Order: sequence, then structure tokens, then C-alpha cells
Amino acid sequence: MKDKAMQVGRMSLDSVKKFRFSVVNTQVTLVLALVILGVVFSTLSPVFFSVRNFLNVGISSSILGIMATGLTVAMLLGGLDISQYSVAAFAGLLTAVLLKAGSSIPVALLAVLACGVVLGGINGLIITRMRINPIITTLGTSLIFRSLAFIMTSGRYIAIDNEVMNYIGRGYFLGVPNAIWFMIFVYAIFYYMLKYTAFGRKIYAVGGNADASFLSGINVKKIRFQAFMISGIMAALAGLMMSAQVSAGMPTAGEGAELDVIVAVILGGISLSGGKGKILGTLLGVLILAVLKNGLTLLSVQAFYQMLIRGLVLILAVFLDTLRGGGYR
Amino acid sequence: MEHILQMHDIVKNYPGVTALDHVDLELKPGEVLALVGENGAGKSTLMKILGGAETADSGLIVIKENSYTQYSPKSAIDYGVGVIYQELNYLNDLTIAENIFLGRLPRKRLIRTVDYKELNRCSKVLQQKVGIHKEPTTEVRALSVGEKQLVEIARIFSQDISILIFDEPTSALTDTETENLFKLIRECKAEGKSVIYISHRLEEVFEISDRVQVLRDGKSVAVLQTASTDKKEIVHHMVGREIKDLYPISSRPTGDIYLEVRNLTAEKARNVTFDLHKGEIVGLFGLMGSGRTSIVKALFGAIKATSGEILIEGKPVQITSPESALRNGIVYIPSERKTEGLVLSHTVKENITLASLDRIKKGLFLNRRKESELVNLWVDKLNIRTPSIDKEVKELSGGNQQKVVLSKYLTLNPRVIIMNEPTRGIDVGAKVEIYKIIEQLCDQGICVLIISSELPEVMALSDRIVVISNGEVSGICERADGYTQETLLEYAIARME
Repeated sequence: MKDKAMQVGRMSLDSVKKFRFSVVNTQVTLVLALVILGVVFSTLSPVFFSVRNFLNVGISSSILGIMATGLTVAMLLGGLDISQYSVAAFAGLLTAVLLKAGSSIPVALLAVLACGVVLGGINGLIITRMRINPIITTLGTSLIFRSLAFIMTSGRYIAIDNEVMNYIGRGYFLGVPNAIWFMIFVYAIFYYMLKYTAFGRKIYAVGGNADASFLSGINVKKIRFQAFMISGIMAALAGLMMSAQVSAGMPTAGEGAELDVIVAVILGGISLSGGKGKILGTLLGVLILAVLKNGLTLLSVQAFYQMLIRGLVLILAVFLDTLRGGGYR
Repeated sequence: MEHILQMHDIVKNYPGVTALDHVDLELKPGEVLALVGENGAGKSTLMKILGGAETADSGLIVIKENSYTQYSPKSAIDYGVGVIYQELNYLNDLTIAENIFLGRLPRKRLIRTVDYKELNRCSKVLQQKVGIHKEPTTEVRALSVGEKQLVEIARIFSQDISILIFDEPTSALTDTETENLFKLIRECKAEGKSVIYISHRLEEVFEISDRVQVLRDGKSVAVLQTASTDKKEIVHHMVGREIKDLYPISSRPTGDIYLEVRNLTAEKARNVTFDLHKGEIVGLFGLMGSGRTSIVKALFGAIKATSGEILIEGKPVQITSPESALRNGIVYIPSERKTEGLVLSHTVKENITLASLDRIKKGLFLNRRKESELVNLWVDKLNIRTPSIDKEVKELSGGNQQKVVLSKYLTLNPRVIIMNEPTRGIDVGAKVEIYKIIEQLCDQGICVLIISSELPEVMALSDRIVVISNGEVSGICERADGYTQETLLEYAIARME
């Protein structure tokens, strides 16, 4: 068992060297890393290379993936949002509470959106009006939001028994899980938003040089505020998906996983200093993490070792960021 | 030992600019040499090379009969060369004493911890010498810019230095502080130490120096005995050319008043009032720290104006942010191209359309064809030399980068253009191109407000010069009455306390 884990470790180290040589094109290296992981796991596990397993990877990556789009926007501005899983837990729990109280599905969905707007907006206000560093802000609000989630139900889980929620979380459309459709849809929107709209261009500009953007007549505060709102909305939608998949709202949802989404986004090539990176990179980063987790689980690598590997991947991701020139000096 | 220092044939090239072109410099023991020249003449570069902060491309430095081709700032100190740079290096959170003795803090004998008693005692002695009348334990943060400069000077004095270099030390000092500094320099002289003194202020040069060396465009053009020369001769060497050749701008008729600034008050600007006529170039001149940048930033809405009025064609307009300034046809071309003008990692195209994104929208999305057309138009118009509009702007030369910044704002069809140091750090060819663009803009009836610290530039370009001293307008000169450097400088220091 250990040997296999070691082999996996060695393979990802080999790919580090490849990363270094083709740092120029992040996307290509990420695809390469994904392929290498795929080949390794296919050789080691007979179950890995199958449509069913791939769909599994897709489903399990959807929550992380949806959240990562919002975080990508915040990080392109040079910010960070640690409060996403707390927002997700709050939103998921709120859905469960509302449905249990007899709300209709549209009302619950609107509530989820409102929850994202308000909680994300709170982050945005603190960052732009009180001018507190985004990391500290969202570290604080992550505690506050999760606490509010616990307070909402006195710490209890709320089960969801609803056809539509089941369909959202576990249903299929044209043979593909809805979770995957939803993720594709979200990524398509973000792709166009970031690449082809004035708003997207402004996000990159503010992340690249806030002073120059300000002097170019861009309302830097507004863009920052909107970005954190978007991050909140995507976290809330991920929370909806989370509660739909497990058929319950849980105040503890995502505890201990807070950093996964940051790992995914950094791995995807979004520079920690902002202004650089592509949403497709984020998608690849999410998939790499999901494949890694799936493959290691299939190989029955114990959770302890998985944690170790996730930690290594985090370091690796940041190391890649420094190679791209966005490093800590 | 006749010379304590000789610099032979120093050459230094930066991309696109020759900063120093075979420069020689000699210094005798106990001598004060003044180094003068316009901005960009190469004075600071020469001193950075002497201080070890920069390396010459070629040349030889002989200090006390030892020759060196290059060395580090630390070895410069070991060789007895101490430079007090224009940009100050101090640590705000440390005390005066800690700053002065940084890296050489006295230690207690056995336990090797810092001996603060001894440190503060030594500091006090030095402080008295340079004239910092504050407790050694005061944090440097709490000092004025002038006092910070003195801390820097004290640091150099605390070391065994035989060649002291002052790079425009008095620009931030008050009169008393300046007097004290001169006293200090005379003491050094008496002790046989040598001083190189860089200054824009010719009065000071005559007061303190034995010899004057003039640099122009990276060349040493004259070495004069202070006693046997006069201001006129020095200025002649500094400028050294018929100004009209370099500045292809002639005076032209100007139109009606377009923009009026009334009693504008903001941080570092008080009650500033002036007008801009259509098609007119107005120069805003003032020394570093005079508040000229605050004035234009307040006019552009980039910093908050606490009171005052701005009128366009007689109607008051509200300018509270760069956004609203741009809406009113006022653009500001910042002085710091790299930090304020460009998103360096983005392409030429993305930079040029940054200010006009909302104008090239078609529904939700950007009209990419329109964008490319617009960009290509301006790349042609301003002759921006780039292999492609999708090239990252950081790979362009300084002059071309400046043109990218210009076109970013010109795409907005502005009525008023404020330019802060439009030609800083670009080569002469590009400068002339920028001047030509400015003239074309004026011909279209656009008002141009130029900030420049290069007096010859301001004098040649401006139809009118508004002089700022300590945040206030201290004088307005018309081209018709003729400008002299002396009058302008006099106005510029008029309100200094």
C-alpha cells in the first residue's frame, strides 16, 4: 500500500520538472499533469479508467469547482476569500431550513442567491469601506458565518426530502449528472465574462495595477466589491449543490476543507498577486485535485496519507506560482 | 596625494539612453566640488556608481590611489565613500539612534545584547552635530522629511568617511537646517574631508563650493573655479543649446477660457486659482514636494479636494473621482508610467482601451473588432513601435510606453489634458515626438497643462507658467513677458518657510 503511495508521490515530483520547463503555458502543463495522473491511476487501479468513475470525479468536483470560479475572480484582483465554505454551509443549511418550513423551491433558490449576495457583500464592504486586508476580513467572516450557521439550528443537521433537490444533486440529464452540467454552465459563463466583457477586463486590470486602473477611470472599489459578491454567490450556489447531494443542510459542511478551493485555484495558475490567470486553468486545477482524491481513494490510500499528499500539492501549487514570477519575496 | 578621488572615462548605458558618456571627475582632499546639470544630465547616476549602487559599463575609479572598476555599496563605505541619496533609506519603525547605527549597534560586553545606553549616548552626540533636536529614542516616523534627511547625514557622519556625497540635500530642508548643513560641510572641509555637492540651486553652489563641474546629456561639459565664474556661465553650460531646436513648439494664438480652477484646496494645495484657455499650453512649475502633483490630482479627482470650484466654459462641474473627470473631458497622464500609467503584464491593446472599455461595448460583450480598429488607429497616429498590438506592454521602450499611456487617454477625445512629467526618462528623439503630439493637440483647441521639473522644457513649451510654492500659486508668468530661470526659481521658493 505504502509503495503505491510512494510511486504516486514520485510521479508528481517528476512532473514538477516538466512544469518548470513549460511554465510559459500553464494550461498545457496542467493538461499534461492531468494526463499523467490519469495514466498512473489507470495502471494502478482497474476501476479508474471507466465512464462511471469519470462521472464520479465530475460529481465530486462540482462543489469545489463552482466555488473556485468565484474565488478565481477574487484572486484575480489580488484578494483571497477564505469564507467560502462557511457561506456554503450557511446557504445549504438555509435551504434545508426553508424547505422544512414548507417553502417552495423557487423561494429557497432565491434565498440561496440572496444569501450569497448579502454574505459576499458583507465581505466586500469590509474590504472596500473599512479597508481591511481580504485575507483577514474573510478569515474573520468565515468564523462569523459558520457561527451563524450553527446558531440558526442550534448546531443540528436538517434533512432535506425534496424531489427537485434530489434531481439537482443526484439527477441525470442526457446521461450526464446534473452536477456536471451545472459546472459546465458556470464555467462557460465565467469564461465569457472574464474574456469578453468590460467587467472581466476591468477585473484583470485592477488585479494587474490598481493605481493605473483607478487613474483610467475604473471604479476600483466597486469592482472589488462586486468581485467579493460574486465569490459569495458562487459559494452559496456550491452550498446549495452540497446540501442537494447529501440531502441535508449541515452547519459543519466543508469544515477542514476550507483550503482545498484555494489550492485548486492556485494550482490552476491564478497568480497570488493578481492580474494573471485563466478560468480554464482553475477548472484544470479543480479536476487535478478531484482526480488525485478519487485515485488515491480507489487505491485505498488511507486518509492520513491523502492529507499529506494534499499538503504537498499545496506547496507545489504555490511553488509553481513563484516560478511564474508571482512569488513571495 | 594630489587627488583623493579620480573617476576616469565612466560610461553607463540604460536601455535606450546613454546616461554617462565618458565622464571624468577629480576631487582633491579638503575640496567641495559642486556637480550641476539639468535633470537627466547624469549627476545622480555618476554618484550612484561612486557609491557602489550602480556599476559602470566601463571606466575606472581611483580612490586614495587604489583603482577599482566596480564595488558594492558596502565596500564604498570601507573605501571611505559615503553617499546621501535623494531617495532616503530609513526604517520608519526604528528610533533615530537605531537608524543612525543600523548594522553597527554597540553591544554589551558579555551577553552581546544591544547596549541601548551607549547607543543613545553616541546618537545624541552625533545628533547635536547635525542638528536633530529630538530624543534619540524618537521613532523616525515622527520626524519631518528634513529631519529624516539629517538622520541619513548623521549615519554617514558616524562612519569613517573621507568623501561625502550629497545628492540634492536641501530640497527638503528648512533654511536653518540648510545653514546648519553648510556649517557641517565647512567643518568637514577643515578636517580635510572632501565633498561632492549636487544641487539645482546655483546660489548654494556659489556659497559652498570651490569648483563646479557641469554635466549635460551624460557628458562633462565644463569644470570651472567657482571664484572665477558666474551664474550665467554655468547656466549656459547646463543648457548649452538653443532651446528652440529641441522644442518644436512655437507660440500660437489661443482661444477663450475653457477651464477655470477657483480656490482649489486639497492635501498640500491651498487656494489654487488659474485658468486654461482653449489651445493653450500652461506649465505648472514647482520644486519637488511643492504640491504641484496634489493640485492636478485634485483637479482630476484622484485625491479629494476639500474646497474650491472647477468651471468648464463658465459652468461649475463636480469632479469627485477620475471617472467623473474623464466624463467631463479632463484626462491626467501620470508621471509614473510603470506604476500609475500601465498594467505592465497586459498587452498594448488592453492598455490602450483600458479607459474606454465602456465605449466599445456592444450589449453585454466587448466589440472586439471595434477595439482592434481603435487600437490600430492610435498605434498609427502616435507611431507606437510595437511588433503587435498583442505584445505585452512591458516589452516596449520607455518612449513607446509613454505613447501607449497617451493613447489610452486620447481615445477618450479629451478637452483638457494634464500631463505630469510627460518626458521623464525617455530619450531625446521620443521627447521631440511627444512635443509634436502636444502641439497637434493644441491646434485642435485642447487645453494642455504640463507639470515638469525641467525648467527649460517648461519654459519652451508653455504659453503661461503657473509657479507653485508650498501648495500655493506664488506667481504667474506670461510667455510674452519672457521667462527667466531666476524669476521662476524665485517664485518657486517664495513661500518656503
